Amino acid sequence: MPDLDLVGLGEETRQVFKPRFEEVLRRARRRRRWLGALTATVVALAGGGVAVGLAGGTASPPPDRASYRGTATTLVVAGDIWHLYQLTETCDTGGCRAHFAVSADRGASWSLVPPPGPDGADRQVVSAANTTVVVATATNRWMTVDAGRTWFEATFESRATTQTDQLAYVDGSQVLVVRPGRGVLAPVAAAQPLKEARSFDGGGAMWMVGFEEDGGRGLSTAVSGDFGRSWQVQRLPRDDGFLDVTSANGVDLYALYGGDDAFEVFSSRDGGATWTRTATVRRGPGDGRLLATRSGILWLSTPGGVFLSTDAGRTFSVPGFTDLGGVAFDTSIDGAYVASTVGADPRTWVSEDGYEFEEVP
Amino acid sequence: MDGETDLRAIYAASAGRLVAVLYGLTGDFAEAEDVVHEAFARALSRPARLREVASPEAWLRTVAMNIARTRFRRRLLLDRIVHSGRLRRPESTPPISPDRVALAAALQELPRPVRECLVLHYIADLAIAEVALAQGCSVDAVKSRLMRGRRALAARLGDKEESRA
Repeated sequence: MPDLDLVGLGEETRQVFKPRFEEVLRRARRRRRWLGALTATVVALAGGGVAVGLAGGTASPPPDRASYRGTATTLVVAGDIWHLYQLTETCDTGGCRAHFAVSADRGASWSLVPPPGPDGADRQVVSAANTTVVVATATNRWMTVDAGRTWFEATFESRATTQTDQLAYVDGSQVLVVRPGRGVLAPVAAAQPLKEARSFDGGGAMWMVGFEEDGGRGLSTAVSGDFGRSWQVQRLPRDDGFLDVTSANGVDLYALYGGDDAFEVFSSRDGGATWTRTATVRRGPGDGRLLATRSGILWLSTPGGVFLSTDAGRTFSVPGFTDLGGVAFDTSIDGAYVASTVGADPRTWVSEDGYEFEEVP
Repeated sequence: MDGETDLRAIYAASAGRLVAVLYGLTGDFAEAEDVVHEAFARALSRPARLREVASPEAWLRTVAMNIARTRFRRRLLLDRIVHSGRLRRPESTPPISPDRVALAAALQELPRPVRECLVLHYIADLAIAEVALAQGCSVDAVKSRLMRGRRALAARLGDKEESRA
C-alpha cells in the first residue's frame, strides 16, 4: 500500500526544520534599507529635474562588500580558477532585489553588484569565461567583460570561429561562442544538429546533448572538434530516464540515468560510440548529477549524498565532503571545479584537481 | 509590545509548521524555508499589519504561499525560453524518510487547487470549512478535491510501488 500519511509528512518536515530567526532579521534590515532608498528616489523625482539611467553600458556603483550573498537563485558558475559568479536576491513587498555576486579570489570573498536587465526580471548565468559573462533574461542576453562592473546588451556577429572561442551556450536553434574579453557572441558555422540541446563540459571540444528527432526521441551527444564547423552525433544508451552526461577528456564519457529505485551509470571508452552499464546506485526521490574530472574521479551527486568512483564508474563510495543532499557542478575554462547549492543558505566548494573540494564562505 | 519579540515567539511556534506546508506545496525544502523566512521578514517590516490580523500564522501562510506562487511562475517562464546546461537547479529535500519525500514529490504532480486543499487540510491542520474560506470555494468543493487528491496520490504512488516489485 502506498504511504499517504500527509500528516506524518508535515510532522517529519516540521521536526527537521532548524529555526534561524536571525535570517528573518537580516532580511528585514535589508528590506528597510531598500525601502529607504526607494523613498529617497521618489522624493528626488518628485522634486523634478532628475534623470535616471538604467543598465546598458553604464558603470555600476562600487560593489557592496559583504560576506553574505543573499539567497542564491542560481548555481555558482566558474569563469576561471579565480572568478566565481552567482545570482542572488533578497525580497520585499515591492518585489525581489537581485544581485550579481562576484568572487575574484576563488570564493574567499564576494562582492554584490547590480545585475543587468529590468527590475523584477528573471535571470540566469548562461556562460562564463574569465571575466566575460553572459546573463539571460526572458527577452535579452546581457554581457559583461569586466566581471559585472558594466553590462551591455549582447550583440552578435558572423565570423570564423577559432580555438580562442569558447562554447557559450545553446540558445534555441543557435550554438553560440564567445571569445573571453570580447563582448560579442557569434554563432558557429554548422547547423545545430540536436533539438532541445544543452551544452556540457567534455574536455576541450564543444559538446552538447539533445534529441536527434522530434518528440524527445533519439537522445544523442554532438561534438565538434573544429570550433563548430561540423558536428559528430552519437546516440546515448537510451532516451528514458536520462539525467546527465559528463566527460573530462572527450574519450571517456559517463551518462547517468534514473530508474524508479536506482541510478544507472553508463560508461563509454570511445567518445560515445558504444556504451556499457557499469554501475547501479540505490536511488531515493530526486535527480542526480555527474562530474568527471581530469584526476580520474567520477562524482555522483544525489539527494541522498555525494558519491565518488575511482574505478571509472564501476563502484561508488560516499566521501562525505558535504553533509547536504545533492549539489550541482560546474567546470571553468581553465579546469577548476565548483560544486554549489542554491537557497537561503547557499554553499560552495572549489577544487583545483577534481578530488579535493574546499568549502568557501 | 515589541514587534520583534512578538514575531520571534510566533516564529518559534509556527515556522516549522509553515515550512512543512510550503514543502508540501513546492516539493523543495530550500524554497520552503526561503519563502517562510521572507514572509516573516515582511511581517517584521509591517508590525502594525500583523497586529491587525486575527491569526498571524494564517496571514504568514498566505504571504508565503503568494511568494511561492509568484516565484514559481517567474521560473517557469524563463525555463521555457532559455535552454542551457546551467539552468537546472538541484532539488532540495529534507532529511526525512524516502516514502515521505516521495509523497511530497507526488503532491507536485497534482493540480494546484487540489494540492493546496490537501496540504492545508492535512499538513496545516485546517478544518474543511477553513480550507474553503482560504481557497475561496465551497465546502463541497474542498471535500471533492480532497477525495480526488487522495485517489490520485494513491494511484501515482501505487504505480511506482508496482513498478519496483
